[in-house]
Amino acid sequence: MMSGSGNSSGAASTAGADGRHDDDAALTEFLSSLMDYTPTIPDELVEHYLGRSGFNCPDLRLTRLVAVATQKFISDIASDALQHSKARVAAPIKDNKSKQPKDKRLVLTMEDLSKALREYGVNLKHPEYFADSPLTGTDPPTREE
Amino acid sequence: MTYGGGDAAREPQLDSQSTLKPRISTTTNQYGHAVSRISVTQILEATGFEHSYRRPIDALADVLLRYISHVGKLSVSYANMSGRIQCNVFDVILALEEIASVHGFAGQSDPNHSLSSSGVVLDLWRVVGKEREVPFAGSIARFPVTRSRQAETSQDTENEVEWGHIPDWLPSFPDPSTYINNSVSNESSVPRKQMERPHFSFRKFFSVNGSDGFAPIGHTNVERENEIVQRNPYLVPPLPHRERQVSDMTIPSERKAVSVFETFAPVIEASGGEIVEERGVISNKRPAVRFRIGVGTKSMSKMLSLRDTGMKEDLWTVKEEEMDSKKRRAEMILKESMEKPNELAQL
Repeated sequence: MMSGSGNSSGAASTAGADGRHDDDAALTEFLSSLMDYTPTIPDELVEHYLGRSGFNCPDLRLTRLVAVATQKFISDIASDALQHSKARVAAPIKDNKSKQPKDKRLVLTMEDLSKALREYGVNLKHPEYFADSPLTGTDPPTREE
Repeated sequence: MTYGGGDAAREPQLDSQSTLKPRISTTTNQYGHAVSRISVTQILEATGFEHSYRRPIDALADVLLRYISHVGKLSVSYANMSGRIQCNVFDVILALEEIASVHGFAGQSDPNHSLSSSGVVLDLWRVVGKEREVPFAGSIARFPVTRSRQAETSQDTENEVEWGHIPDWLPSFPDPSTYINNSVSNESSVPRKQMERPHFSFRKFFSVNGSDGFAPIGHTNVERENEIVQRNPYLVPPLPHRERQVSDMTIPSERKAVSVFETFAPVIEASGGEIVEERGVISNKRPAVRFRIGVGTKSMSKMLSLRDTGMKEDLWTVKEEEMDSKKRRAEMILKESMEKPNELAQL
């Protein structure tokens, strides 16, 4: 596992070797710290979906690594969506006549989520309305008086 | 965290059992999707959201599963490119870097950067070190659960030879006596397993017609085979040349005016019924070949069963009525065709 196949093959000097050794040590430490940390995503779920993609590794630390990476990804998206939601709440009210105060609850909506996901390359389109018949939304026939 | 029932602003009021359920999860993914929805809800709560609608959570759960699959796929491809089938930590780091390259990470510009101290790894280390740990609510078992199968214990397995190259999950070989055709078969020498008789007996079915072409399996006997061969005319060896004198066929002369009615006479005859009793007249001159075209669609077995039960007379009375109507119809068609010989488009 620590074969270092991805490491740089450049400098062969002792300084470079020490640097690589330090990097490897840091990585080893990080992986061991993963075992103490319980990610929000359960290991069984991650193992199942990794297995479906052909990922074959008996080492639990790699599974934890992927779980932590996924958790970070989702929390980044969530924080971006939160920023959009806060920006919407903080926007000035155009209609001054309304007496109701702007809803200050932080609610995750499809609009905020789709804006946040667009930056990560995920296109999420939500239909604006659902019609139960083809004539919904069309003008009703005018009555002859 | 409250869990809304849908976007209230624009959607019309629909019941919860409507077809608006998102089709992100298939029937095979439902369990995984449900688990990921719980994780997503916990992550959103940790981020700071107080409430959410159902659809964004479903969407994020789907994104989560797709992300895991994507990381797995990329890691496997990197491992395969290096000539390995098992992934190691560097394959995973390369996969994470590829996904993060869209957004950018520290050290991306350096092509010789060390993977161990990659920006991706440092970000993750920060997550592990600093962020509050939010474990998954509840515990789930390993899935999918594989049912443990009991090994088949039947009489066959007792006599089976252990083949190293044949996997256990394949069905066992059939009894050798069923496919090895021994000409000298003594019933007393080898104790044989009782063969199961099929419910439908071909012998009985075809014995009405007098042909014994089908014999039950398992009782192969040389004498019996010869018997069968003698009875079945199709299995008789062919006669040598010129052993039997065969009369010449009488072909009607072409110059003779053929009336339409006469040529269609056999059709009219045949439209009366399927079983035409053979007349015992044997003439030296063999007539020209006539094709019998049956009109009815009743199966042979039905006719046979009716005959056995003695309902023959009733059958024929019904048939006579049909015969008359069919005859009349055939005659009408002939008349029309005779009157309009140019318009024989149907034929």
